[in-house]
Amino acid sequence: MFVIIAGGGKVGGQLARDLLTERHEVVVMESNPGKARALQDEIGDAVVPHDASEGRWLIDAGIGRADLLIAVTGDDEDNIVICQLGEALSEGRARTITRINNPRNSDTFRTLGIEAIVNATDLVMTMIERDVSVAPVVHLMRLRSAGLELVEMTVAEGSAADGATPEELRLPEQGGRISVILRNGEAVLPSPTTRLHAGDSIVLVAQTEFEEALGRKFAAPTIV
Amino acid sequence: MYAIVIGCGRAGAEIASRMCEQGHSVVVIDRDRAAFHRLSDSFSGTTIVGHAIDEDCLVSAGIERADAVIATTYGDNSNLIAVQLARKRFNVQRAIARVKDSVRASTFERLGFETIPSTTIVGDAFEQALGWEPHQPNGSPENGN
Repeated sequence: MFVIIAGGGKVGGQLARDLLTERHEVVVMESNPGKARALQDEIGDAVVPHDASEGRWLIDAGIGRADLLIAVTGDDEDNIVICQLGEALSEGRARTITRINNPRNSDTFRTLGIEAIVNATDLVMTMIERDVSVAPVVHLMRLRSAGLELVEMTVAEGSAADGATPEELRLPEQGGRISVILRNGEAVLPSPTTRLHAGDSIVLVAQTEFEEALGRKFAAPTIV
Repeated sequence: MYAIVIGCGRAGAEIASRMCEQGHSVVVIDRDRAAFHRLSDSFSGTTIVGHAIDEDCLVSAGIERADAVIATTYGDNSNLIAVQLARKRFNVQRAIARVKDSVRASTFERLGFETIPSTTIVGDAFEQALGWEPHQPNGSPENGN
């Protein structure tokens, strides 16, 4: 798999190391000369010392043949535009994943029709901290071509999910599985007895057709 | 016309002042209060200190009843997010982004957003001044290698 990582900070650098260890082809794009040099000393030619949202450099980096574009710069606006640009320049071939640094922006970006956003700061960092290989991320992205989506939902107060365990919630058999709970900025790996609370963000893998039904479990009850 | 100009650099101040001269209502947003000194004496609109993609700020600027959003900040990406928000979230009829990177500009044009590709425009103007043939744009992934 050929992966372009936009942003060579802590998250981007670690993702690059892990993906290279797993023998994927990787290019990291980092516009800060100091950060780019430090990364070059370590992983060499895989670093492009330029801004990934600058179209010509993204083309130069090989977006035309990329399988996956991961945008993990420190700036939400840059990440979104990098993903949109990458999708367009690869004519939809490259899958894109990004992170939201500021949770306040997540509604905004959902409005823009950008669906495959995971609040990945927490998710990716936890995977790294727990020394979990990033393979699951890649694996999840592959699953999407089989009609599966990586979805993030927030538990609304008074919803079916509020106060329930994943088991009690009775998610549709094939419909969805909770992967990670993001709570107070920390990622919690759910057990069958973990209780969900209003305000938790749930990252789950769901079949596209069940997404709406799932959404109802997490939405606030409507008053008739 | 009721217009919101985002960014009060040279370009933002210029267009905001011109719109006022044409008799339009204008609100200018910039993160930095000091930027408003660039507005000419003919500017008769209002100014708001705030961030381009902060929805609260856009609402207080009256985006829900705006006819046009003109995004002129120095950041191409902020401008592109601002026009997408204007069009998709607030159904603003005209939303135009200044985009310096010509590849990014043409890409978002193809995606249906209005851009002012400032670098291309300046390049074209120089070319014309020199009396040269118009430049043929390239920059698709196929010929970029």
